[in-house]
Amino acid sequence: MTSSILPLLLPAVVVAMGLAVFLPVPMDLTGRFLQHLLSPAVQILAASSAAILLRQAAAGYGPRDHERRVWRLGALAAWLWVIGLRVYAITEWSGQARAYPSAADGFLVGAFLVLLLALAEEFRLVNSILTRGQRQLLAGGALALWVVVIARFVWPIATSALDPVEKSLDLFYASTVALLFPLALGPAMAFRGSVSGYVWLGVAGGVLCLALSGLGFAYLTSFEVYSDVHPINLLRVAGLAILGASGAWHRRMLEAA
Amino acid sequence: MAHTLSRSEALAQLGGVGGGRALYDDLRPAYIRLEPLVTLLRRRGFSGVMHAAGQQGEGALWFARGQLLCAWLFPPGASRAEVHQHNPLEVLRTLWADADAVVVVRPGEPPRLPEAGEGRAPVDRVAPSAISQIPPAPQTPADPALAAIPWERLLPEALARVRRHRGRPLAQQLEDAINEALTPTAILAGTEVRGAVEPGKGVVALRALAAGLGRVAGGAFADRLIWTLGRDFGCEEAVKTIVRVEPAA
Repeated sequence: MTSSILPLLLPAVVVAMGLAVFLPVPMDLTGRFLQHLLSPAVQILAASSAAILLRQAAAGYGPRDHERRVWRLGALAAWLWVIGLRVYAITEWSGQARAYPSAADGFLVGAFLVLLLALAEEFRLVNSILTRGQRQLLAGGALALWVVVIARFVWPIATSALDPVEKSLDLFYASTVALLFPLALGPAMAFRGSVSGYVWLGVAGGVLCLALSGLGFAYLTSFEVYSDVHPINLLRVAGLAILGASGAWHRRMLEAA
Repeated sequence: MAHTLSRSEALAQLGGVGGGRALYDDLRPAYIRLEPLVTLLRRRGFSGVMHAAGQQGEGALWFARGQLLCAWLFPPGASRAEVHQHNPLEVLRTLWADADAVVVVRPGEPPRLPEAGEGRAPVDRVAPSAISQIPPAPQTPADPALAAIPWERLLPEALARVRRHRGRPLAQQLEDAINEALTPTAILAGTEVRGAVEPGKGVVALRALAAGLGRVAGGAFADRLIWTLGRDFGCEEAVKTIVRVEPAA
């Protein structure tokens, strides 16, 4: 199956399902019920497919290869998203008054941290290939991005009357974009112009979507306008699908050597 | 007392440079800057000579595995030249003042410098004329299987595949490692090998490439890439006997 086109089609199907679930605005009760039912299902499917495809990418390496650990950590992050999204769905469907912060955030924060570790491992690998100017550009970009995000999105939340746990989570989710995206861009720059470069550009795109969905989630929940059928969730579905597609593409590249 | 050499000794040094073809031939200071050229050669671990002749005289700068070894300069009409080991680049800089000077870069074995207090190395051969008439160095193939590997085509293709899979920066680093292994008889420049690759040095170069690629892309991938390459060039078994990639820890 790994050498066929199917692994690359799966993320496309997931994105199409996400578009079908999140973009329509159903007017009747049945339509709304179905949308609330399908929303977590599509997100969990996106995370599951990403986990499987990233694991397959890791399987293309030898047991002691450094990048095997990178892709395996990516797969672990996706599994943590699966668990976190399931816990979140159960919390919502059990009728609890506040689904955020909840036990689900433990898994979702863990997913971001494991993804951060995976990207840091890959960055360590390509560090010697990057020039000093490129490293400075990435560090400067990360800092600038973090300042913009904090000033534009987190500051209004930080100065509000929210509880400290929620504020901390908001700060973490908002900061992921500045932490993860430059780290993912590093390998794309190091391998630029090659097949691996495009794979890592895909990873960077997926990470950006995921981090932006986290930022959007934090921002919208602080103003009480987030719901599990909000179109911002499309970013999470797209991010996981792009990560999965990158894993599938990487596996094909390894097999084609 | 500074070490000097006569014109015949200088020609003998140039005559001792092996390799059939010049790496760079007929360069002119009018369009080539000295420092970038020297930097490029040093980065590639080059061994050989950069020879220049023009209105300012005739001089040579010697490299040994990327290090500047020494340089000498014959001003117009001079019969002896001083051998500079301290800041030898300055000698070539003098010749670079003439925009029409002719510069040739040729890989080869650098001369042996006399130790402190030692006499000059005996000169037993005088080159017939200019550096362009230097004959190629003879090859001594050891193992027939290794000698049968088409190193001049295999090494550039290996780098091309690395470039396709992992990009130009890594390929550039591996090219430098290959050149360090091939020096002084050959040098890999872009898609072409200049000079003759001795099988023993080819083995070292291929191992350097496999190890460097394995560190980044993993031993399994490096194995597959190089073995596929061996298959494509009809020497898979020979390649498999040389490349033992150590996976990254």
